[in-house]
Amino acid sequence: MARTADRDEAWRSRSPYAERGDVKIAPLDFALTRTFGGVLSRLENYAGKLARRVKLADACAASFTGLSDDELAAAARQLRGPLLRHGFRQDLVAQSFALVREVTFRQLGLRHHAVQLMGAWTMIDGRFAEMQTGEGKTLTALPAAITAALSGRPVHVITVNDYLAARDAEELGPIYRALGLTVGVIQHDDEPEQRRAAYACDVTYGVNKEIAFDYLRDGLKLGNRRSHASRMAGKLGGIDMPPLLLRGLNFAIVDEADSILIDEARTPLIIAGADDNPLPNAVFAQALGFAEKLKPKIDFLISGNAGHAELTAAGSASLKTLCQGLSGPWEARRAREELVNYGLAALHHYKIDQHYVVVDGKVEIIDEFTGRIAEGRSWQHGLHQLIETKEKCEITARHQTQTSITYQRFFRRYLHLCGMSGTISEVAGELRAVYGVSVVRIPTHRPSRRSSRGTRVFRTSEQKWAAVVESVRAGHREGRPTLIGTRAIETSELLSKLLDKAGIAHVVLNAHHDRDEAAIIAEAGRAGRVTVATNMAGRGTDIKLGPGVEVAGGLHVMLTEFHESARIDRQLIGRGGRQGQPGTYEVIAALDDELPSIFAPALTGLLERMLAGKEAPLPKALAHILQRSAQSRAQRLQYRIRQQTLRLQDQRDSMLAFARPD
Amino acid sequence: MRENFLDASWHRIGPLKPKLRSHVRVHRHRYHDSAWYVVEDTASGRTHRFTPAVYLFVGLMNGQRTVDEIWQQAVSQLKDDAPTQGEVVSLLAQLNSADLLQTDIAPNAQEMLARYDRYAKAKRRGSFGNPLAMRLPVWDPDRFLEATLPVVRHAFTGVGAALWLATVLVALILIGIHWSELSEGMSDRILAAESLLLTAMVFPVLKFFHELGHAYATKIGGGEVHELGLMVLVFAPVPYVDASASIAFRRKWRRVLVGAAGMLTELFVAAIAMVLWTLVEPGLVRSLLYQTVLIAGVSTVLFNINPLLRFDGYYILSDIIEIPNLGARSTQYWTWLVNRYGFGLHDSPPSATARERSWFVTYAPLALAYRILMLFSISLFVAAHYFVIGALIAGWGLLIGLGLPVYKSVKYLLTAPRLEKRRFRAIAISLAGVGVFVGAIFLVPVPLYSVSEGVVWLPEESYVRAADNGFVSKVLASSGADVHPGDVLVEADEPELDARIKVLQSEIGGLRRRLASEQFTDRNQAEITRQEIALKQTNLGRAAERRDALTVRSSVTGTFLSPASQDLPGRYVRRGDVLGYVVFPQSRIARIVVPQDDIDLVRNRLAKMDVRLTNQPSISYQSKIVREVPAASDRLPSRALTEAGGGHFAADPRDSNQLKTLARTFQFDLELPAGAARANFGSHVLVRFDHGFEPLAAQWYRRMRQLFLSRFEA
Repeated sequence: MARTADRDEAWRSRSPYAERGDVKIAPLDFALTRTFGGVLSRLENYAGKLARRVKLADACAASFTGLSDDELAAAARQLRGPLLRHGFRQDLVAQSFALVREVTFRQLGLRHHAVQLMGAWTMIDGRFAEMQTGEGKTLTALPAAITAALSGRPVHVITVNDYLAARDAEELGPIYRALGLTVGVIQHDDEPEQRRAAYACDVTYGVNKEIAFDYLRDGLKLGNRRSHASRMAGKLGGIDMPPLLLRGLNFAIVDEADSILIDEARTPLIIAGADDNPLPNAVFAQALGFAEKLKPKIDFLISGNAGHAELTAAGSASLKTLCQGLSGPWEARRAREELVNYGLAALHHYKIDQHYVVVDGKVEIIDEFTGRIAEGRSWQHGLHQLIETKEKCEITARHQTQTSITYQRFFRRYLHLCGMSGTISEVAGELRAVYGVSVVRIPTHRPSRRSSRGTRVFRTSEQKWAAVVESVRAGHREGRPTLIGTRAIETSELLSKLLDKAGIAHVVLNAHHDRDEAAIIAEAGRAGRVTVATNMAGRGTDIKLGPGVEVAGGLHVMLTEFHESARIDRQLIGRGGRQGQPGTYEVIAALDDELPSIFAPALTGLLERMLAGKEAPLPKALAHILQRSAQSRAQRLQYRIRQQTLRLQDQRDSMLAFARPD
Repeated sequence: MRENFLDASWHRIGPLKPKLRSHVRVHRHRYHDSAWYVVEDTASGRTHRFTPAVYLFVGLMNGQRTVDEIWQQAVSQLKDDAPTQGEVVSLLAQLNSADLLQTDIAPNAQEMLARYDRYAKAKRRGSFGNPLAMRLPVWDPDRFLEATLPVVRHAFTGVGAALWLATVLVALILIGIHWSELSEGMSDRILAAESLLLTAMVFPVLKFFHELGHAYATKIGGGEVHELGLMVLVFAPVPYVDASASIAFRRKWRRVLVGAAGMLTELFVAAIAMVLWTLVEPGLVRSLLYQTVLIAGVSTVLFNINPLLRFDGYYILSDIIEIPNLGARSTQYWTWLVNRYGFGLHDSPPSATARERSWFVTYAPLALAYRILMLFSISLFVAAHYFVIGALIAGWGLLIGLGLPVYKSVKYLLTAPRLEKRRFRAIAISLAGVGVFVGAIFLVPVPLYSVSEGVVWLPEESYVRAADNGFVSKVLASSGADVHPGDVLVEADEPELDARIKVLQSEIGGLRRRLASEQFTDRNQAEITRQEIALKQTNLGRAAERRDALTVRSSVTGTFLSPASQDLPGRYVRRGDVLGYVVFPQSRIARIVVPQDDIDLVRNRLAKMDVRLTNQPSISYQSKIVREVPAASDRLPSRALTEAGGGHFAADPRDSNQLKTLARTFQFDLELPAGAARANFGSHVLVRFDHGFEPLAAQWYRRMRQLFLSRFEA
């Protein structure tokens, strides 16, 4: 225990508050852990150990049932001291869990199942709990959060969206308060004061991005006085130390851990500000002007589809004569050639409606993989401004990075990282390698009664949508609610039109309607209800079944496309058949969907020829092979991107060790 | 990936106020046509080299300006050569990792310690990583050098140089005078067991002087020398000295002097030894001096002058041609070439003038090829001499020398993020390159041949031998005359034989008479006498034959050659002694000796043979095998084939005849063509057996197998 304490205090020399130092993982260790970590975690039979511990909590239950609410709060107060002193000792955790169970029962009328306590204990131990969807993860996090809060650690409960954070904090608030703990919520629009207040609470609910950005803002404010010691010294010297938002990265419970820690970990978080040395807008017009004067093949070459323009020696010389006498960036060869190179690319490579669109006088990038508008993204190094000039849009300011962090690094800095998810064991190895946290599978409370209605892959989208509408109609007739998942907003709207035409009443839930999410979800379980939702709306929401639905067969979930990973498919499927209720799901996809055509083009082409002229879907085995190969290829690509993010960051850091840390 | 003018990490660098740490010293050097700045870190003894453009940046760092300000200023000042932000970032990173940078924020102690650990580890790995070249630092000689410098300083003056030159000249003259004496049996002395011991004694001492030479030259130039140690080169301890402080010397010839000082010292020692050698009586001291001359004057210079290995020659060369860091930059340039033209990466080329580029293009491949060659031969040598441990160490050496670079290249190919979009092309090109190389080794047949040697030999019928003992009375055929079968060549007589014939004849006459008288009186006695007569007659016949044999006749048509025909008359010759030769057109054969390793090829895969005579090396003759000795033998046909006689076969030193070889050989007789009329009997013949074509891999495999068979008996 002493070692833990030493390690826990080591932050004072480098950080303003409790957080873990960065460690570099040796590549071999990483590769081995990633490969075997998942298997190792499974071999432990950790769940068996947990089951015995939960009996301890059961044994404590009797001592709390007879107490009044005030006496329970007093009991919680009494637990604080020992928990702080001894850490998460089994008997203390058992008592705390029993207490939470009792209070939850009194406040919400729900009692934690054994498996929920097992999940909570897994997290107290600093692991990820894999719990089947619909096992009540919100409640599972509660005992862990409360126990950690009672031990004096600021707890962050991290969710995937603002709605869930607000909902959980609100629903569980009474329980925390009954135990004398405070709860705060971070919402996107909150002002710094509100945020600081929320972080000051014992338990804070928030979205990963918000908390990480707040952490970055703290870092910016700290500047060169990062360490606790230098802040103290500064204070003694009478220098005004800006107040920070967070109280440290102590204890994080990550809900839907795989989406946050794996899927979102591809791109680093960046706080950007306006450029310190902005280029005047005229420069971009000049650059385009010069670019137009240069002759292709003589002055410059454009290489393939990468859109790299490169000046030849002749081009370099003629550019030099062109900008004779100009100042600013035109004086430095590299700077002017870069500008003109991008100018050439803007003129000759980037095309409207292929690479970008102009919406409301703004240039928006089209994502090359998804073909969708990538909102808020912009090209770097002046290319964006050049294209804005070309399209005669208003020129936006060039952004300059002020600070950045990767999710991998951010979450590794938590002293205690744990979490849960329904679909995490596939990435157990990587989680163990990156975050040093292993995964424990928690058994289900009741056996699952969810069943599959098969996977159908059609040749064309038309056939697919016809089958979807047909299937919806059948479910509608049976009086069952149907949830249809789509990958993109556009497809959800397309389907909506088709359903309208078929005369089926339905509701659409996507990013445009996220304000009504709670209401839509509350209704989605009622008999005969048809809900079309993009997958972003699916996570973490519990669709409660209306009266009579359970008898009719429960919720029917339809996937209209394969997602990039089987995990996301399973998350959507997990919306139905929760907590031992009946439910069905089916997959209706097409060969011209995005995933197979991008990630398994050869196989897709082959299957297409096989299906030509036929109405029937693919045989089940082939559909399975297609799904597997496309998804595993997509996953490999994603993994590589994550690895590269991590590696680049490590390289940069070791190079910039002398500079201000991010 | 193309480098951008602005860098994404600028926010971490821009506000810093950097400066060079106070203890570093900066020197301005001129190399050929460009100026460089050499930054010397006196604390660590390391030096770093910067271009003027970089130095402009470094020079602006004063602890007051921010990096961003300095960069802006550099951009406006350097205009076309302005560095990108990325270059500034890597420059600062480089300065930091070299411990030269100080900024306004507290240094990251953890990182500094980690860096120190890394550095120490790298140094350890450099010292002990390669079992074939380990370095053990032993002593910091700086104070010793400081104390002795006042004396040694004189060596580096004009007087010192003159003295050196005079001594070496004298030694050269002496060598000229005593050349035959010196060169005679040089090979014997080098290999003899006694001289090996002497070498082992002389070598470390000489090397110590050599290193002191470097060290003093460095001190004279103003540098410091803090490390002298032992390098274990292929198990032989050799001293080394760390003279890297000399990199900071401004004057080129000063730097060259440091590189050459070792050899100059040794040459001086060799010259003195040479002078002494002529003065002392033969004995141990003289042998010792002889060895010293040999090692210091020849082997060291030959070894050190080679610029392809990182020894003195390399440093001298790179200083003379004014391309510092030639090896590393050459490798860098090749890396760029491969990246640019092989993999299509648009990196900016490493800065180099056209002159430098041509050096870079040539140096790296030559050095690599030479290093690999050395690596293999040293590994084989070690493995062959110390079986189990040697093989392990050789394996380790190969792994580090060859396996590690290959592993790194493969890793770069497979994982480098910069190859992301071109990985397929990069791998394809690399595989193609390896494929061409491997294909060339495994598939492309190249001439397979083996080389051997022999001597010109004569067939038995060419020998004119004395058939019996006797005094030569007369040589009838003059040397060089044409003779035919039956022609009398030499006549000899044996007075004893003549007397004996006469005795026998008269004895036979006496006996005959006795027989006539006894015939009718005593039949028994007569029979005995008859037998006696028969016996005497047989003896007489034999004696007559012997007398006839004293007249030597030619058995073939040809030219009679007798090297000593003038001396023959009156000489007593024994039976079998060679009196001369009758040489005829087909008479000359070459008796050649083939080592066991090649015997299978010669016997079973012989396409054709080229024979060359040593006295006519430009003409080659076709030939064929006329006779072969089926069994291996450890005797050579002629002493000309031993190492002492100018051949390649090592003779057993215990054999007084010097004909016994250490390894068994096979002998073949080749027909010498008529054109080879001037082939002198007994002269050297070189033979190249042509075995057709075979890929290199198959040839190497055969040799390796033979090596393992013979060396390891495995």
